[in-house]
Amino acid sequence: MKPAAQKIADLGLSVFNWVDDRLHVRKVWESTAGHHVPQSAGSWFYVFGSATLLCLMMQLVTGTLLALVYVPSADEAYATLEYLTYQQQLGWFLRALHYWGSDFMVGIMCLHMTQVFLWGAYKYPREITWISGLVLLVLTLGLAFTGQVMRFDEDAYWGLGIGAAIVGRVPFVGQQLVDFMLGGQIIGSETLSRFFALHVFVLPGSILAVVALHLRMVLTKGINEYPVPGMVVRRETYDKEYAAILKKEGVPFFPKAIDKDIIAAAFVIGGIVACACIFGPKGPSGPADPLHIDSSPRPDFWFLWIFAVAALMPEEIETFALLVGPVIIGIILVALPFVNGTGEKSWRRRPMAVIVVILVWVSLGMLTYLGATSPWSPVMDGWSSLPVGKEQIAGRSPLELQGAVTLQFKQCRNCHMVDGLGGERGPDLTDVGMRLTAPQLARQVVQGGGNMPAYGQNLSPAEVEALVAYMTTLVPEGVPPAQDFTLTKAAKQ
Amino acid sequence: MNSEPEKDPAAAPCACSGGESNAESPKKKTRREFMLALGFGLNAVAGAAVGIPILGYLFSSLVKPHQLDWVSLGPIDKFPEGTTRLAEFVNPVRRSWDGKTASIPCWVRRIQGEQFQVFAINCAHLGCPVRWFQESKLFLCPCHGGAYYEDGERAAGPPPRGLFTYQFKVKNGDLMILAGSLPTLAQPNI
Amino acid sequence: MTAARAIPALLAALALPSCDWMPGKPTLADKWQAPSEITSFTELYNSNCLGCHADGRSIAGSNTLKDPLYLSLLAPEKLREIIAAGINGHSMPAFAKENGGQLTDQQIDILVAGIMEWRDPSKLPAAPIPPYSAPLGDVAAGNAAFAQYCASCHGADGNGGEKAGSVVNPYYLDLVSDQYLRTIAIAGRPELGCPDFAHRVPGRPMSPQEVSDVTAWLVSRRVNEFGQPPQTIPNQP
Repeated sequence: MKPAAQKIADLGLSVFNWVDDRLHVRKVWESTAGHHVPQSAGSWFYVFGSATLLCLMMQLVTGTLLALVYVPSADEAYATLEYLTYQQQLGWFLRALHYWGSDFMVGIMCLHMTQVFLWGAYKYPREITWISGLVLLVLTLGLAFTGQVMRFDEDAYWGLGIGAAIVGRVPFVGQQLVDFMLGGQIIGSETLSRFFALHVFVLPGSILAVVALHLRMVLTKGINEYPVPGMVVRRETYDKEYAAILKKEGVPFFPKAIDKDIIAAAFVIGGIVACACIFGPKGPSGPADPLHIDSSPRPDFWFLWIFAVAALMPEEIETFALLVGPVIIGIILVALPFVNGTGEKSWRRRPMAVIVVILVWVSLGMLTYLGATSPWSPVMDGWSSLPVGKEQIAGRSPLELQGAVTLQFKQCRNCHMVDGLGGERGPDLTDVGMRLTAPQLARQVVQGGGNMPAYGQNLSPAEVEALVAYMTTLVPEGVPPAQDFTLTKAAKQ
Repeated sequence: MNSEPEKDPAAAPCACSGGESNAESPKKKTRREFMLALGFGLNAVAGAAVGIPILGYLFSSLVKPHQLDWVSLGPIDKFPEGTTRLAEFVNPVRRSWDGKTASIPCWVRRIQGEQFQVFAINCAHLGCPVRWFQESKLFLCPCHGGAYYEDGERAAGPPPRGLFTYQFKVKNGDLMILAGSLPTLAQPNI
Repeated sequence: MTAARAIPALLAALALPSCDWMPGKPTLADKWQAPSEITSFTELYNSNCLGCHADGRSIAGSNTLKDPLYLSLLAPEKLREIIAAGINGHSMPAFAKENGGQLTDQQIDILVAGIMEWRDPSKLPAAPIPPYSAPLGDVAAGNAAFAQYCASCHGADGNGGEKAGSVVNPYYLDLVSDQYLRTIAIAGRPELGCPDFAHRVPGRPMSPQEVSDVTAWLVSRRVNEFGQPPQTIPNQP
């Protein structure tokens, strides 16, 4: 028995040696997975990079599987999506995995970037690591955007329209860029094919190439040591200091520093699978049919903040902000390791860095929340579908009741809330009679102003009268109605 | 590891002319330089032969002039005077596999007689589909709340201008518009 | 060996059917439905009618449709016509696609049928119900009938009393049609406390003639915007 086992082992070894002789497997392994990293880098805070890469791998696998069924044709894409979602065995699950995988990928990538920034890992000598990471950020967001076009539904269709509208604001060459983006003069078959080629060939290929560069930089310049407050990066001495750290406490990445990455990987996959199981895939919503105009398009989660920016930006600077803003942000981010390439790394000694991170996350979070709730969007069927409470109707005179009807009929509630229901674009009217007097209400209705259209042309005198009469009754119990202070004061004098 | 073979000259024993390469004759050197230059030159030509058509293919939309055509929205009787109605047309520039995206809606306002205004469906802000409310005589955009009056003028919200309009004419009792391109701020008057 | 066979079997048993009860699995009910394909009466009513007519549980500016008396007046064809074409010049929009609305003919049929299901002959008053439409009656007789049946709430001159507001307000009369005044004279606004023709004076229902007369009197109180009586309502498209 023993000699036979020995023989097999010997054979195995000689086969391995034969392969190794040709492919240098051992050397490759030693210089990659086995390369030495500072022991301090085996930290929970250092798992986001590998987790993002893991998401990318998941996306490649699930994306390829979806491509087995999906047809990138404007005529048929929607039908194949419906087939995947409702008929294909586990098609919904693959779609959900791919959707949640992309959400996780963008989210974890943002955490990775935040961590790298706070831990000062972008500083000398890891400038190219940082810049290649920025390219990966752009490519990943590009994949996320083109990915929502693949789900060729109404959101995708009008999302393309929004993209074209932004691109069309570029001076001089706007039209050329729109045509180039759409692959034609309208959003149609060639637009989808174009975004498919981007999503499936160009961007994944580019992302793999840049990931290779990113990882290569991790190998050549090493993983950032866990920063210690007081340890200052100087261009002249850092390389020697890093070598000393590696000599003193360097451990091979595999198997000595990879444990937390592996655990995090399991959690990431578990999280994606759990979200896919619980929440399922997104959409598809209605088909990409321009004739279906009852559409209120919304972008996917990670682009909601841009949707909010587009709503909240003052009109005068909107084009500038949409076109020049990203360029300025890009320049700042690329310049960062050169402008701020030395000095303290630890966030404990970089209060500005901490403040910037908090500001960016809080504003993105708030914008995303606003984008998700979109209070600026009219409730398109509010006028015909939203009832009012009994308190807003009971005890009103016939004229006031006609005013309540006019309030519905003239679509006021698409933008105004009454009794907790209605649009949030304009002020809540539930107790407007407490704030405005009849003449003030009439003027606002007829002349518009603020962000309200003038209804003077669209209301008869009787309708204005009824509407105003009704709104002056919208006063909470026990509160006096609004008074024009200028008039009461004049009367006293 | 990539540099491994170069570090080890012994690993490349087959340098046929390499035995005396250290003492390369000037004649051979010129020839080598010439061959290298020729190689670069030939590849430049080959690259252009491949690259120029590729660029031409990729950017064909920039070379092609914009193609617009008159399309019918149907007989004008379909549009009662004083009303604004949704109309649709099949885009004149289309592919047979465009599916539903080939049909485009637009808003037709018939003022009176043969006086029309034909508005694009796309909001001037970011291209979302605006909807007409005949009760309040307003167009509202579901995305960011842009509002327009019945003549297409901006009423409120973020749009930088009024609604985009199509050129129209009445021919044999049909309302025709000049269509074929997605209206954006770059090309407002389609 | 049993374990070797059991594990794949268990996995297969777990993986395939378990995914069918996952909360995330889309069902056909989640599938997008074109607005023109909606055929549920409740959904159609709630998105198109609820805002102005409420649904019996709540009240709204316009009259409730869950009123057996009102529905007994109205022929289904008339209701269909009103929904499809609206009431020109008044606050009832046209819902049919050919009139610039959003609903298909089939959807309007569904609405009509659904609303008509609220008819309830057992809840109608015993007195003879005046017809839905009739020519205007006599103004002077209408004034007397108003004093008898309506003045207790709306005031002797119609300008409003303790229980209810003015019905002769010129702006109010400008906004409502003759038919609306007649309909209210018959059916009242039960959800707001305005009784129908049979219950305004206990034991004395209004006669069809009295309804026509009251309507005539109300119509006669119309003034135009310059205070000149009477005014016809301009036909707005």
